[in-house]
Amino acid sequence: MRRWAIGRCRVQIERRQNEFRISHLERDEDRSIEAGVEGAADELSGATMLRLACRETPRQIEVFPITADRTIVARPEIALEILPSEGLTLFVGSPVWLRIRTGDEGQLLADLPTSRLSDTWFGATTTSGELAYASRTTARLVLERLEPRPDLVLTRVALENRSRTPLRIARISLPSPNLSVFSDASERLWTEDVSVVVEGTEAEVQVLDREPLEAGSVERLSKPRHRESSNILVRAMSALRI
Amino acid sequence: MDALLATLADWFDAERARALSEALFLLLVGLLVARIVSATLDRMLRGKLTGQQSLVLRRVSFYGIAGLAAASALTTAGLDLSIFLGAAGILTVAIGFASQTSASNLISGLFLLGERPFVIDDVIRVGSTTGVVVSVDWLSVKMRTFDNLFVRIPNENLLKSEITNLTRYPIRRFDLPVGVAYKEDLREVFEVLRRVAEANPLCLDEPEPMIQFLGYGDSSLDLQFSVWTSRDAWLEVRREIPVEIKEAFDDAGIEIPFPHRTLFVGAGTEPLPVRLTGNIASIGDVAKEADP
Repeated sequence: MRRWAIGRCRVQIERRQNEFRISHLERDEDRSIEAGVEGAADELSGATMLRLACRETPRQIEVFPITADRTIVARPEIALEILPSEGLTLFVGSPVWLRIRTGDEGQLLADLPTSRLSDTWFGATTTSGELAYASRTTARLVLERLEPRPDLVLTRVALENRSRTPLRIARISLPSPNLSVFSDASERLWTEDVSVVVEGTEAEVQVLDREPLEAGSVERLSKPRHRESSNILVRAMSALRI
Repeated sequence: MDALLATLADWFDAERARALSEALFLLLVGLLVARIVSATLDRMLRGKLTGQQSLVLRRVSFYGIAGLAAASALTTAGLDLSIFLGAAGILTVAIGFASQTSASNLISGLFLLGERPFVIDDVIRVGSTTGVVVSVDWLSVKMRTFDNLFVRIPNENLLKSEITNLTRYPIRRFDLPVGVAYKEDLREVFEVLRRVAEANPLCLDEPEPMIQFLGYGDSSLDLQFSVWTSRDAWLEVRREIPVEIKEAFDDAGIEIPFPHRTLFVGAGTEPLPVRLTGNIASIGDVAKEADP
């Protein structure tokens, strides 16, 4: 039996001859981190348990961070505005998911969020759009002011306002399934940089296909869930709601 | 009888017997081929078509091939199909009169197919009937209600009725009427309701939950609390939110009132006094007086 504690998330994996038992629980605010600590079977009270059966359970499993399975709509705690023909860079944190699979890119066993985010709707109207997750973010302009957290992955968002009117940023939509997870030298988690260019009512969102600029030397921990073209989409202003 | 048998024997000679056998064989083979082709087409296109399209394709292919086989069998049997054309005219008039309703249902079905207000597996409400659409046929639509009853609704009725498709869009709003006592602070109530929605991850952050004041009711301040959720989670939200609101109100000491009636003899009077008369000292004595 091994256990992981990442932020509020507690995961326990027990390997038996013919089944894996994966227990998952979210505790109250806690910034601790444990990874793969060995121990005796210990029931997490109130945990959700998955039982995965097979003829013979493999000896090796992989546990690694991955981005969310839906778009994350991050709402800055304090809204800000970008003046016309100006741009700025924000650092947006979003909860990371834990992927558990058998060794050497084998079977997927579980995909667990480190923090259960609230559902939200991302679309111009209630009839067209997609289900997303809602998140609050400090949306810092300065990286040093961001407290490192083991359960958050940082995205550097470069915003450019090519309109003639100020651009109010009430929400930032992160295309999480299209982002990888990297780890820098201090084990802080990053994704690729995202560029958003707003002109009039149109907004172009692009995932920059390179390692994150601010992170320095990084190691890729997981690939994107979905591989789209780097220039993901052009959405109307009302849909993007930046 | 002998004459009849002799006539039949003359008619049913070797050549005719062979023709009839061939016709029967053609018909059976045609039906078999029709079954195989329709099943094969369904299997090949299963993932690419909706349930409704798959059903239409199966039926068109089966009846089309079976019809051709039947026509071919009749021709082989020696029947002149032009006879049918002649009789068809008269038959058409008779059938037309007899099947006005069926024809109306058929045409209504075609309009419904074109408009597509719903598809198979949608949950719809027609009048007082709510259920899952299990098939859309030429003359009617079949539904299964949530208590597992089978309902057949003629297409003509559907075309004339208001149909509510409960699963057309990916998200749906849940409205809950909430009443609180007159003594409560409405701002505090709004805040408690807002926290209930925020704490439930199935309630969408956007569109935002909404609280509307409906009016000064007889016994309570009437509000409507509306939250949005995905259509798959709607039932779960409908079950959980009232429980969570009750718990939150209990924790905050907010009263959900029941109807009250206050009697006044006149403006600003004391409550009505009750006095027992005679030698009755208690309620037990009243019972003895009534039934000695």
